[in-house]
Amino acid sequence: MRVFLLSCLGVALIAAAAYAILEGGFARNAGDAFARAGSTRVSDEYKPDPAGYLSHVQAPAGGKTSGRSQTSETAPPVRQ
Amino acid sequence: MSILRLLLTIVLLAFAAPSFAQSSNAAQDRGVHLNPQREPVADEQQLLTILRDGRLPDGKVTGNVYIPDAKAAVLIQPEGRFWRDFKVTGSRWVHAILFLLAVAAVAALFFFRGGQTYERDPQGRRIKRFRAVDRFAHWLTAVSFVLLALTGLNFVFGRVLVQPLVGDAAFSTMSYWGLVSHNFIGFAFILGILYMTVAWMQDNWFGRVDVEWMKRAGGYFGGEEPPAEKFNAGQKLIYWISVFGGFGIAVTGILMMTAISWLGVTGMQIAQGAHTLIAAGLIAVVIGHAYLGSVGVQGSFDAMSKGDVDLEWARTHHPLWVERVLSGQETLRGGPRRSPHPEPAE
Repeated sequence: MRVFLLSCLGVALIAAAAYAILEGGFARNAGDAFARAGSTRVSDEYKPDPAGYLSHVQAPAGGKTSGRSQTSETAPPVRQ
Repeated sequence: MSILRLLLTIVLLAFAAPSFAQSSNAAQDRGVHLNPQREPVADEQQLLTILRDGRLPDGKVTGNVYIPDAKAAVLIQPEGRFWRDFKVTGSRWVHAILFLLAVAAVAALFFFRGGQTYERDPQGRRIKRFRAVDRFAHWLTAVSFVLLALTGLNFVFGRVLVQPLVGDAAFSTMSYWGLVSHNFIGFAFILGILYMTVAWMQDNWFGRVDVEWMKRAGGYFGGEEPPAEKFNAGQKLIYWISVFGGFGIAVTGILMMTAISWLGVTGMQIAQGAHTLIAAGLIAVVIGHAYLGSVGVQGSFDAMSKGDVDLEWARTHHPLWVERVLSGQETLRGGPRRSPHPEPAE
């Protein structure tokens, strides 16, 4: 049963090595994908047409520069 | 992220809601500012009707979002409902049925057939069956598979069976570390499967003797046991199921570890569904394999625990292989040529 015990150790070592090598990699992978998709956080194409389909939705106050969602306190006054 | 999702949902529902004033107030409470001059363009029922009639080109109701997570703009994805039902109900049934069938089959074999006994070699001679590296790979795969099955089944049955027992907080912590373990123990399983695929493939091609073995069900239900090579047809079947199932579960598992933007929501749903279905099948097969490799066929466990088996056991179950070994035709790859005469056990 020595081989069995060694294989248990092998499972632990391989899992630990995979964690050490890949955990950061997967996180970076997800982060990169997210960053690429959002390299321009608010581009013109995302902004609603003032008189169009989504005109009732206001452009966010944060977005590109601050990267935060707007709140009641930070949002600009409603445009008419 | 959950706040963003909440915000997004409110924005999307706001323009679809029938009562604009009410939505607007609720949205403003959460910091979403809507133009009071603009009426909503559709209500949810209208969107669902359009969706049901197939009038949307990609079969989804989508809106626009300001956040980079484009998939969050999907308001209604019909496949998601099917996937949710499958995950909450369907996959549990599949797992439960296959598991119970496997346990019932093993119990029936045990009670009605009992463990196959064998006559020991009178001189106590034994024959080498697996090298240490083969046994290491087998146990590496087996141990990791059991851990993967336990942590994986937590995702299927945990909320029903475990959460009520341990409570929300403990279940949350347990499930988080279960997921981390599941993700990385998986690589030990993949390495084990890769080794066995390469090292054991040449002994697992089906031949004429396997057809005969299959026809007579290995003599398990009566009659003489048909002759077999190093692996009989049943073992070869388990080998190929493990290889294809192992690769299937590895590929879908790794895909689920990548960023969701890579596969998309639908791709992830397909990967998760395939992953859990393959797992259910493999768990059932492994239950049968574990029984037949231990209690079901006495003497066979030695092959993986000690590496050698009783000569008479080998002659009973794998006579063609013993014949080849004794005539010195077979050599162990990477090892010395076997002795034509098996040595007595110490």
